[in-house]
Amino acid sequence: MSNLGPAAGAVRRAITSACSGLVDRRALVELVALSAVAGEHVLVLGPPGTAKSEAVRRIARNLGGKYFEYLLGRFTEPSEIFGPVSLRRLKDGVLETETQGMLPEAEIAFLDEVFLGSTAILNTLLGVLNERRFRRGHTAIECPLRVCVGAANRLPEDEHLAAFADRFLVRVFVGPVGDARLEELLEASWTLGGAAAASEASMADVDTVAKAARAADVAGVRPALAHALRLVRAAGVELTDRRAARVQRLVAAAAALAGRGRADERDLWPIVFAVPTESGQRIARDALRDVLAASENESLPAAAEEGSLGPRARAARLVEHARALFEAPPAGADRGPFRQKLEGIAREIDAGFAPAAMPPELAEVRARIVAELGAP
Amino acid sequence: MSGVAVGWTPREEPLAPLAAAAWGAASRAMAERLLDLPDATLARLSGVGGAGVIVVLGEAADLPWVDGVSYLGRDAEAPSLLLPTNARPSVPAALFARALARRFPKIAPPFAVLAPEARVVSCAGALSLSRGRIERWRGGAP
Repeated sequence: MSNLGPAAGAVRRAITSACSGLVDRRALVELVALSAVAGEHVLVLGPPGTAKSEAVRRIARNLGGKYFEYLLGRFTEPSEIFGPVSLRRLKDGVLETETQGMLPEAEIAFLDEVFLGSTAILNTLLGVLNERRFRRGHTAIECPLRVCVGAANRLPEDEHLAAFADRFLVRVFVGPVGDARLEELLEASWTLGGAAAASEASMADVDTVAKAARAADVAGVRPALAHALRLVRAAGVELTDRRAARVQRLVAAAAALAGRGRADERDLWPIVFAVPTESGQRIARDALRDVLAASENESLPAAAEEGSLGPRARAARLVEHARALFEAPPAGADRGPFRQKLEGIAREIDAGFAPAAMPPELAEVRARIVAELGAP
Repeated sequence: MSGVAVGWTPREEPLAPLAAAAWGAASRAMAERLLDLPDATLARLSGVGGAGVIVVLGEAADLPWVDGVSYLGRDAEAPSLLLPTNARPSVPAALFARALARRFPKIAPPFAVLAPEARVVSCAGALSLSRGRIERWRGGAP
């Protein structure tokens, strides 16, 4: 547990760095990191061209894991995902797969259009996702997979595919960047090629946090979690027992990523992302508004905010955003965009918080922004 | 600009900003900030000005910020009002809207409601902003 702070800090830096220049995808990046720590898988749903793969690629690179990415199609062969059959061994009558550099050896995987995979691919994938074991012919290996991110335009209607989709506990629904942030998107896409390529953390950091999450004390928060699950079900949202039980892993991972060994009411927000449909997530957010008002996570501010719509999570995100800007203030002629960004944060603070309800840390950051913008 | 007595409580989830209002010293700072905006941004904004008050309407990302500004948005229960995004009136919004309409029959909605005094400004005559208009308002500001 003693290494939790530095490891969680490294993962936090990896998230922040991965999001640099990526507009409106912070929650997705954070949820991939959360799932990697929890040992769960993520399904991202949204139209093409919404930076899903870019977001996953960046956090994978920054977490330093072995990464495998593939765009599946109806004619994709299992060997394209799991590796080719070893012809040398086949001569000896042994069916072995050369898995080097392929999914069975990946620590973080991204499978685009995941539901287009053939039955053979999806069946083998089930074993990898559920048991972290790859079996094919004479090959049977343990997979080091921390998180698999599947992506698709929409949820499958086919019953068999729905059962496969259920293996992805975390669901993230993304849409195009809103009109208000189009300038930011254009600026970011223009400079995207210049993004840094260094790892900010390592799989050892992820594993340290994951170990702390597995050891975390969740007994204290269990009654509140059960109450939240009842509220979600009472609102008519379908949440299977399997998903309800596994939410605990996300709650514990959220606490560990915040550097805490004990989960509490601040960590309940991941429940929303375990709800399998977009409309269900909307209903769950509304039903849990009071329960999730305390949501907060220094490492995962955007996901905590998106899950809870709570003021504390919103304040934490604004504080982090402002502090990140103040950490690297540009000099001289570059101050225009810097001041513009600060003005945007000030606008969001003043639009979102009545002075009497402003958390002290946010009030402090606001005062700093006022001083900066008041200076010539 | 006129007022009625009403209390305000913080909103857990803010309204989306559609307008920015400033009065007193903040209104003069707002005028200066508007004059600093690029032409393209200014062209996307409209507004009304009165004695010591400015209300600017536009998309959230274009609305200017100055210390002391109040952002206003639309509550679904009272679409004729522009209410503070961060606070709700102590009476139901729909009742509040009806009370304001009765209290100020000669003022055309939508009303911008400026907390905490619940002063109201009609935005019905909002005009597109130009540097000339802002400078004329500034010249006449107290």
